[in-house]
Amino acid sequence: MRGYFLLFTTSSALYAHELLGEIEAYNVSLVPTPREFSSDCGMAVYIEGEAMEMAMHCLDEHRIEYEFKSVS
Amino acid sequence: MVSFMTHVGANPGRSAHTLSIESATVMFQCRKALSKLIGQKDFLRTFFTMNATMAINTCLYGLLKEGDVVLTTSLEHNALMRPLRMLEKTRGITLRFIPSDFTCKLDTKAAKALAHGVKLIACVHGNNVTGALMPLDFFATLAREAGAYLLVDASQSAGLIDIDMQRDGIDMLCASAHKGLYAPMGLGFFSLSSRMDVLESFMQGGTGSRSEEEIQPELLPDKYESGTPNMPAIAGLLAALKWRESIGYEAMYAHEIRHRTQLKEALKALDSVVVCNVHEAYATTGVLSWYPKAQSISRVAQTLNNQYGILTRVGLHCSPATHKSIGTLSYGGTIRFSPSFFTTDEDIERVIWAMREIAQ
Repeated sequence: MRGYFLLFTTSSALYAHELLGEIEAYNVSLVPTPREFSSDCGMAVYIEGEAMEMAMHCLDEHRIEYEFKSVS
Repeated sequence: MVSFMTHVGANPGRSAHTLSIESATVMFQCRKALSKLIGQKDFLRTFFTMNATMAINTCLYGLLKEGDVVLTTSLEHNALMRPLRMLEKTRGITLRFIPSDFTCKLDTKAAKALAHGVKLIACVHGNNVTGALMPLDFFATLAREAGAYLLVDASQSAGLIDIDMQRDGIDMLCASAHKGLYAPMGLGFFSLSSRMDVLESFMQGGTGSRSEEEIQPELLPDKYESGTPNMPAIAGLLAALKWRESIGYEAMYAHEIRHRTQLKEALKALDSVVVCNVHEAYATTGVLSWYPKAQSISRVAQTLNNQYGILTRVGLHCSPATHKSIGTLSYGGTIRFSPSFFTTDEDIERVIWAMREIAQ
């Protein structure tokens, strides 16, 4: 599975990238927020992995607001 | 800083290209390191400003409304006093002042009586004229009992004294970065407790987030950080925070206090000067104020500068309230020595030698 975590501030994007990057199950990278998903001019976290539950739980636990957009 | 400007130099949070991400990462790491230093558990609640004055203004203008009552001290720097006086005039807030004696000792009995019904208790931590460290534990108890918020101006103490927002009961911690934190000038910060979601933004503008909206985002830290930040100074602060890890508070404080004590003892031995004493119940920062009995302070400061290469701060130090309280307003203020961690024993010896020579 792969997709984008859309974060709403630069700080939360970096924070999410740092946290998710520590989970071995995922490959993550910081990318420009895709225009088709958001008009924010900042960054999103692109993620690849088996399932996203663990990633979402991690962000929820750290009270980071996000939207997840799955891509095929 | 040189590395940042040479190899990065991009605006953080305004794009997602490589250098913008690198710049944002520097800011992110600095915010985390600074938050850790001041006992802020949620680093997204620490915000960068141009200076401590902007930090204090942001907190006061974001919080205070018509009819609010503020308790402060009679020892405040104009960074706090002037916005309070403006808000008194423009928003109709009421100010109450805790009296102090000439040694900066606060009248705690009066403070307790004055605290009833106040919304905010705002005070300086380290007095910039005398070095007196105000009793934060007393203010925290006073604020808790009064149901008030506590704002602390730690410009003179941040980096020198161990401050822990949670332990010390501070709701709004404001400071500059170029003093005890040894960052370049043009950078300050404030940090908010979890009780401070009531604080409105003071400045609004571009944040790189919620760009489709014309209203300021509520998201932290963006709510309080509009416009391009001073990234060279933030890179400098990050480097300074890393540097100080191997030194620690104890060594930095001991260094300053040893030099302050040497200066104070040497000055007290001279008949021609008066040293501004701090009450024995209060600890101090490294700064020391004094004034000559028979000469003008500006002339003596000029002699120190021109003949000995010793640079001092002379006058009212933007704190007329302090000078009024300690009885030096009529002298035009004091001369202040401001030793730092980088002041050497040789520097202090030279100052003492110069002072003895001038006194002859």
